[in-house]
Amino acid sequence: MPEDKKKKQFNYRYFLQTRQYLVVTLALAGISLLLGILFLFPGVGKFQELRSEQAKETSALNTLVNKRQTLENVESTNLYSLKDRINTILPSNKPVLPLVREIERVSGETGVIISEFGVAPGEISTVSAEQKAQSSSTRPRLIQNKDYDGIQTELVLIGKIDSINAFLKGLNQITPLTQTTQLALKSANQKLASGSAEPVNNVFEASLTLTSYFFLGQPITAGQTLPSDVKFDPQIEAQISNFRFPVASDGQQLQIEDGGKENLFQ
Amino acid sequence: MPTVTINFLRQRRKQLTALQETDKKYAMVLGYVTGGVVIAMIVIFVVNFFFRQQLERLKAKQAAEQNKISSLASVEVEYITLAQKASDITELLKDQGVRQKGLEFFTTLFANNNVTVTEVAFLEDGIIQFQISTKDVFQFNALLNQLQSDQVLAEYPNIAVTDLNRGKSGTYNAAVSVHLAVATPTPAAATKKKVILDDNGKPVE
Repeated sequence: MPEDKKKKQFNYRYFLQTRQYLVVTLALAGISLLLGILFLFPGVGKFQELRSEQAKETSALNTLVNKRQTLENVESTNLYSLKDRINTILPSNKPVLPLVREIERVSGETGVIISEFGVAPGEISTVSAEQKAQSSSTRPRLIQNKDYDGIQTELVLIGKIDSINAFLKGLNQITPLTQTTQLALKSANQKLASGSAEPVNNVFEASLTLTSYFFLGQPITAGQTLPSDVKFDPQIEAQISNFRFPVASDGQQLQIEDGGKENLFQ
Repeated sequence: MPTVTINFLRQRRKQLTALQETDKKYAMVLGYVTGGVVIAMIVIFVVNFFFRQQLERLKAKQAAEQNKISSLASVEVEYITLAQKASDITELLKDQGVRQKGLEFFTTLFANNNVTVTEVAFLEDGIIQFQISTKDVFQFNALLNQLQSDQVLAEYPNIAVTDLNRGKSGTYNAAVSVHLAVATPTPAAATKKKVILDDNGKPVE
């Protein structure tokens, strides 16, 4: 009986001596599995991760290179070549004086008489204070939800209908960009000596409300994508070329004109 | 009695040798497999190391480009501002020509017929609306005939006359809505202001 028990127990020494290659096979299989699970499969996953990250970073680098090249060559873009015109048509500050000057010029050219004139520019301050205030959400605005705002001008014109139409047409060519937002038209009345009024032939009175636009701007964040070069629609470009841009020295007094007197108080 | 083989050891030895040969083959195969796994591990390690180096070089280049772009920040702001302005100018000028033409056409037509225009409003969907007033029904009738003439309809086929009413002194008031060939509303439409004139043509407060 004890001899049967000894026979049933596994003889490891005998197994190792006679089946050493099987032991080696099993050991190699275990090592391969361990290496695969611990290093090979994670390594392959890491490789894919690094490859996609490299593609992403290469694309980001290309974007930065294109941006840098565009900024270095900005003067060759169509947009930059129109910079002065664009900034005059839609200035970044309230263009009250240029507006008044242009309205006066157009009325002179078309022969209409401005009997009433009123402009409400709101607060006027330095350019930096203006831009800071304009970004405030509590500031009252004429035009909502846009990155531009407007100054309203109200005027009453008297003239023939052709002159009034020419004035309206001329307004489309002044800078800053101005549009007629309200119009009322009636025959002009001439006051008689008797105190009554009668209509004057072919002369009309037009009450206009104009809106002149200026740019408010939106905050520009670092890393913002650069817009591609802008080419205006041919129709828009034709309209822009019709604008009359004031010459810098046009109408500006650069020195005191004293009429030749030494003592201005004589 | 069972047959006893005297030379059982030889047979046992033969069996064992066959088993050992099989074990050797498996060991060889597994040896190759393990070698392959180790080589693959080394290759993956080297490739990953190469990719990491490349990534670091890419990030260094990105930092250099970013520094150059930062030095051109003022140019960037100016360029983006110009692009925004160009977009706004396009939006504002888009329908201006058509509106101007329509305004000129109808103000001339009304003026030639001695009709008073008390208000002009630019509504959505490219509609321009004139609030008009004629001194009597005959003038109003003449105006209607003009608006329905071939000359006017050829230019502006969609004209509607609505809100007709008679004033105390016999004036006839109506709204003339003209559909211009524009697609977008103008931002200035929000500033519509109603002006009511009395019989002497003065604004009522």
